[in-house]
Amino acid sequence: MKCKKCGRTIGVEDKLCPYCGTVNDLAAAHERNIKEFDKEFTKTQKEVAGSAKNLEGIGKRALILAILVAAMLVMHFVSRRNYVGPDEDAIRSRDAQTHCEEYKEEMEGYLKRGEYLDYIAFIHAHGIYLSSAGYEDFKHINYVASDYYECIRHMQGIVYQTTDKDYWNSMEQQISSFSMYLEGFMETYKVQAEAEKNSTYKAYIEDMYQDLRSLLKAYVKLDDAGVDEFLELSDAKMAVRLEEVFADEAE
Amino acid sequence: MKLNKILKTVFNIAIVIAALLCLMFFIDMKASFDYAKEQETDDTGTTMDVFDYKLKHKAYGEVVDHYFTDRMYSMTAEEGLEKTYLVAEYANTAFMRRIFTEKNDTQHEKACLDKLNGIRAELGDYAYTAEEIDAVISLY
Repeated sequence: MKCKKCGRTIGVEDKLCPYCGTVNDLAAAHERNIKEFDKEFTKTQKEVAGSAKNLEGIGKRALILAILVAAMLVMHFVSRRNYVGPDEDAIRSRDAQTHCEEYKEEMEGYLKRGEYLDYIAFIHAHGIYLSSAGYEDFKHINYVASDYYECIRHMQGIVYQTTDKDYWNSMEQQISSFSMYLEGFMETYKVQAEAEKNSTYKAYIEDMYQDLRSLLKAYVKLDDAGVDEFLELSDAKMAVRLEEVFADEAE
Repeated sequence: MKLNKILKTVFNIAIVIAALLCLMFFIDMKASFDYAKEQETDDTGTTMDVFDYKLKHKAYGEVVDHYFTDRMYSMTAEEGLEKTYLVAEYANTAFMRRIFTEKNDTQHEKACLDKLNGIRAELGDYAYTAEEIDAVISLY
């Protein structure tokens, strides 16, 4: 560039003309700019550093919080596993699906042999429920057999009731349960016998019904007409009749 | 700046709460291990004591009631508790035999009789229960 006064060639960064001493405006402006830039740079640098420092504090806290939450989740999972244990029902359900054909064969065997109590114990012990996939054919008979199982169970509770006055007497409870399940059995028997009228299962349903008739004859000492009349009663009336019969026996 | 301070305060509070919860979860986890250990403890002795107590009071209704419940979980008795199943099985079979007699179902009645004789042979010290059960059924 050239000096504005003497016109001789001078450097861009020369603050004064080396020949006439005139101030180089461009160099002066450049210096001001540099100083301004440095000031701005330092200010920005401080702001960025401060901001980073603040963010670092929040980041650390977030990390600690995340670790604590993770630890809580792990401890909760371990506790739940210890309290509940493995999901037995799920294990049995999976087993029932895996051995579906084999179990169905065994179920048919129990029914053919008239071992209805073992049949119900088997399906429960193997996690086979009314809605289990693959076992739909047994759905209707399962309803009837479940009530049959409970009727036999509670009549045994009545018949084998202790007479020892020093022991808890559950006669009333057993009679109430028996009556409830017998009424339930009769309802499902009527519906399912109709639903299964063309099926081989109808014979089993009928057989269970005959077993319960014989139970009433043997243990409640009813004749055929008495059984017919008894089976038409509501569960509450059945319970009243049974209490009369078994109270008399206890005396 | 202000926002940072607020965030820090919120995080500090959250950390304190999480730390307290962690402590609670830790105590709960420790208790759960004790519970699991307790569950593993062999309760055969206690079960047999309760069973003997029931037999002492001739509470066969209770014996068969538990049998009907237990069989829905396992068709065979747990180790050491075989006698409880045998006695209940005898009571159940004697009860069903009476039904089959009433029903004139000779095939099932015979099967029950054979089963009763088989169980009786296995009852050992509990053979007296067969006599008591037979006495109850004979009333019907």
